[in-house]
Amino acid sequence: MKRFFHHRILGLLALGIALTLTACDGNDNTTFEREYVVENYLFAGEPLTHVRLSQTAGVDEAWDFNELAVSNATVRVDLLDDQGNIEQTYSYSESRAQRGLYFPDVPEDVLPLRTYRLEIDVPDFDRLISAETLVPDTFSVITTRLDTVVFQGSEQFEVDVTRSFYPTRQNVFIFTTEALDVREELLTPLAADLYDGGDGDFTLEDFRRTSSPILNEANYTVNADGSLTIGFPWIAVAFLGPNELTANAIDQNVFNYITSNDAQGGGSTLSPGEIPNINDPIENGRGIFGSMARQMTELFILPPPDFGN
Amino acid sequence: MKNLLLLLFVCVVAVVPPAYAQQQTASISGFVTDETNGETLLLANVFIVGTTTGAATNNAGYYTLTGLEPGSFVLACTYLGFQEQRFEIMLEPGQELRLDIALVPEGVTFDEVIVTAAADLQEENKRIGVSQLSVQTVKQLPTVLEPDVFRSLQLLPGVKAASDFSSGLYIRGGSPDQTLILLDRTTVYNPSHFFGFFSTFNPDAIKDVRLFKGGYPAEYGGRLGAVVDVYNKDGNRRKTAGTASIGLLASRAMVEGPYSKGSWMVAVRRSTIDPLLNALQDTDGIPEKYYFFDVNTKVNFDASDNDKFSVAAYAGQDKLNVSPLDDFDISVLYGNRTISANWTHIFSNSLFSNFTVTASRYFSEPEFDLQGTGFERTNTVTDVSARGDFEYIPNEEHALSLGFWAGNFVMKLEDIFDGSISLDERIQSVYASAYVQETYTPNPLWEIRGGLRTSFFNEGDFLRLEPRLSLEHRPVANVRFQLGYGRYYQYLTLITGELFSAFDIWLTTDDGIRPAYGDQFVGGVKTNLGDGYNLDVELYYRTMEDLFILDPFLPDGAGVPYEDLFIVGNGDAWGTEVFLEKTRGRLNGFIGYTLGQTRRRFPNINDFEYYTPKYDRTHDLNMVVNYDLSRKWRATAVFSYGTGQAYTEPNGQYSLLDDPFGEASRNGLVSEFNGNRLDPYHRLDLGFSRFGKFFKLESELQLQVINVYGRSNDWFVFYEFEEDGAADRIVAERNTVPQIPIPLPNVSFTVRF
Repeated sequence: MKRFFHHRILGLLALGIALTLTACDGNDNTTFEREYVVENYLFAGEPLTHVRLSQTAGVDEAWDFNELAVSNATVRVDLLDDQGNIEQTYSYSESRAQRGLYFPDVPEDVLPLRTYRLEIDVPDFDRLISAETLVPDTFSVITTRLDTVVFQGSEQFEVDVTRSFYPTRQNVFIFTTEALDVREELLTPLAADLYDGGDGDFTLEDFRRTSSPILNEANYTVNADGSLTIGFPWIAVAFLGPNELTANAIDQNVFNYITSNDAQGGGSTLSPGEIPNINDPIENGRGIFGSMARQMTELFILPPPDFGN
Repeated sequence: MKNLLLLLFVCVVAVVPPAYAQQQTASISGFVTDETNGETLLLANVFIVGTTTGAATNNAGYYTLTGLEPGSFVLACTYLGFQEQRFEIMLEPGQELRLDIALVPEGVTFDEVIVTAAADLQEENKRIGVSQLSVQTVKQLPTVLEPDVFRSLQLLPGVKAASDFSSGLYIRGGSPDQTLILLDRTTVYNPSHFFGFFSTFNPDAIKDVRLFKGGYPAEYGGRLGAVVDVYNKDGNRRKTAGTASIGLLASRAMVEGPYSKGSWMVAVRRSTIDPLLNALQDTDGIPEKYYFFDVNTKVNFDASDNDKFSVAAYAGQDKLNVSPLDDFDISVLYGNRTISANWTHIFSNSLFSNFTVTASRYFSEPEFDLQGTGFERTNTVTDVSARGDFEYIPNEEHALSLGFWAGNFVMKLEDIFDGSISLDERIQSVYASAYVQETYTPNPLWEIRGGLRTSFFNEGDFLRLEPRLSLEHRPVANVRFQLGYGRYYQYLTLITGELFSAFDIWLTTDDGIRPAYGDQFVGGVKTNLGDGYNLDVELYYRTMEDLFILDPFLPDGAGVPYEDLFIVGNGDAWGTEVFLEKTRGRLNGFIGYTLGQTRRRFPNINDFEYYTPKYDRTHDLNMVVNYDLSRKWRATAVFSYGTGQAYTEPNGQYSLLDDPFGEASRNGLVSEFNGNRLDPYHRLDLGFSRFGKFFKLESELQLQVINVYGRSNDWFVFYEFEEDGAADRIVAERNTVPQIPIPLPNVSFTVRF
């Protein structure tokens, strides 16, 4: 009898605890609040580019720029001096063709190693949307060792460049490749497998431009004359034939944005399901106001002898 | 090292009472073993019947009773699962009696529940925060593919699993690297097979598994949270014997036996899915090669009654080759090697010592070749150490332990990208620690244990003091009230991905990166309710400071100063654990429940505000029930319930459309970090064992079903973005990845010879 009693206690206790826990172990909920979204990039030595202004969407609805574009904002970019004072102000005007796009009234060139401040005043929003970026130094291509290489051949494409400069840290690059001849028969084997004859999740256009992950300058050789030899990895190529290669030396804002954006997609040491917010530079909003210096060169990639076999 | 040893001996001598002080009392000491195979029994109880005088065997199976009044009395020895033994003892003044005890296992009784007066007296030695797991329990529990020590530990209160796919131990709010894992006193750095699915410890080779969940004593150190102390079998000292098992994933064999001066044991396990992989080679994504193996060996040499030597070795590794796409090759190799040599020396009835020299190596060498661009990472840890432990028990009131552990630790992390070394970190550090611990028992009702451990890590010149204190009050024989406190330091951190333990990386403190530290406060009551029922309740609170983890937003470590590879944060955890256990009878098992919470805070995550890590569970309930249906059949059921994992449920999204790096759109989510919970987790596993004969050999057939009612527990949520009719119209698609979503059968067959 005593044994029977103990057994029942064991079972009832477990059942009771399980039921109690199930009843009070519910989910939390978070609410959505619409926020302003800014997008603008500055390129050292190139003219100021347009500012894109929109709003966030709920995660369960479509984000449609045309619907969420923000009009009638006052947009300006200030060039700051070393003390943070405004040295020059560039005003922007909204495009008549596209709501939410603001173009500089005067397409001034962006100065390297200078700080720019973006300010946006939106009607009926009592806070100023703002951000600052420090533009990386320009660099230039000195020589390209080859202008034609064999895909995965013994010689890799390398380019010597002058070194860019960025205060407080080493240079950080993103390399992009843009194919100038987009045809299925020119796809590399890896890209062809992903494309899967058009039956996969990708279109040919998806492979036109590819980019590397963020790579530190320390990966590359610094030559005796102070120049940097950059080797382009084959992973950055999706099409054989003519390609345009770009080396982008990015600022801290772009670095922070991309690394945290990648982490949202699982590209970090965080556990799956842990999605951090993007580390963006925008005060009172979201998005990016970043800068970079870039150089482009062209390359022709020949197929290896056994290509297509 | 010589100076350290000298210092320790001086300490010992300093506290040894002069010889005349012992002349009027007597002592008894010896080893407690299993009569059937000679294996030493750890934490067996030896006591004088009718008194509260008693002791438990130590990690070597040795007990000491000192300060005994001369005369005659009855000495008893008990151990869970073994028949009690009693001895009529007659002691002369000053006598030092050596009494080695061999216990006989209890026979299986099906017709009645074994309840005897002796059983009421029998109790496990229960220190605060300690759980002991029998290997039989490990083998009996329903399991996915392979019986597993860590999977079994995950059922204990305070111990949580990250998922159905992970054998990692998340103990009292701590991450897996906060648990020190020892195999025969040797640190094992990545004890996992099958990329984390189960642990490396072959249950056939194991004798004893002890878990210190928190507030662990001064003899251990180096981790903030817990200790798992695993001991391999010594080997059968009576006859040559063994087991062989075949399972769905792997097969294993163990052979043990005696020789003229001791015993030996060899246990081997290897995956056996190679033929299946070969048959499926035409299927996309199937690995060209996958295997794992582990080998455990141990040789004992009993030089004399007072000197025992042993050498134990472990080797295990996993290897995977797979090509998921054309021109995309992945090769993964990771594993561990350990070796230890142990000398147990008994100076006298009251002074016991143990010396161990160990070497441990962990290696992880993943390689990727993506379209001719190679990425190789090599992470190795090589840890060579020596340790010595002394136990001195001059009388009933005092027990002194002291020891040292010193070694050389080398960590190497090298990344090669596209043929060039992009990261090359090598840290070599001498480390040392020493401890002293006094257990004061002024009377049978009270026990006070105070300890002090000091640790030194050469890289960064860190020297730290770690006080430990515990208090136990036994107002009646079957109730213990316990309190404990300890400070703990950790010089290592593990960078681990929950998905794939093969890429685990160990990193260390250095200049600019201070060791993590934490305080633990533990309180509890442990009761023996009779009839084999035990009820334990423990409360804990712990802090975690200076936690250093690899910066999750650092994509490339090339040229980055070592200290900038990390972000430094803190956290805490609290909880209440309830453990109700029935150890005897046809129906036995346990229920473990934990109410707990843990938090973390790191820069750049959640705005440096506290968040709930994924492995936090508010409620965690596990129930294990064994029932002997007949002499030949045994049924086992395991039910688990847990609060759903913390995860991030975004509430907003947006896209950038002018990406300069070629992305058609760069999509972002807006969310509160880990602000939501997945649905609660629950699962029922059932197993049946049939004992019989197979060509005159004892055999056991196990039939098991995991997730009997097909509960689809969520594992994690991720989002994908796609265009919705136009390039500037983006929708986010929510995807849920389940844990084991369907009933999963498992079959194994074991013979014993």
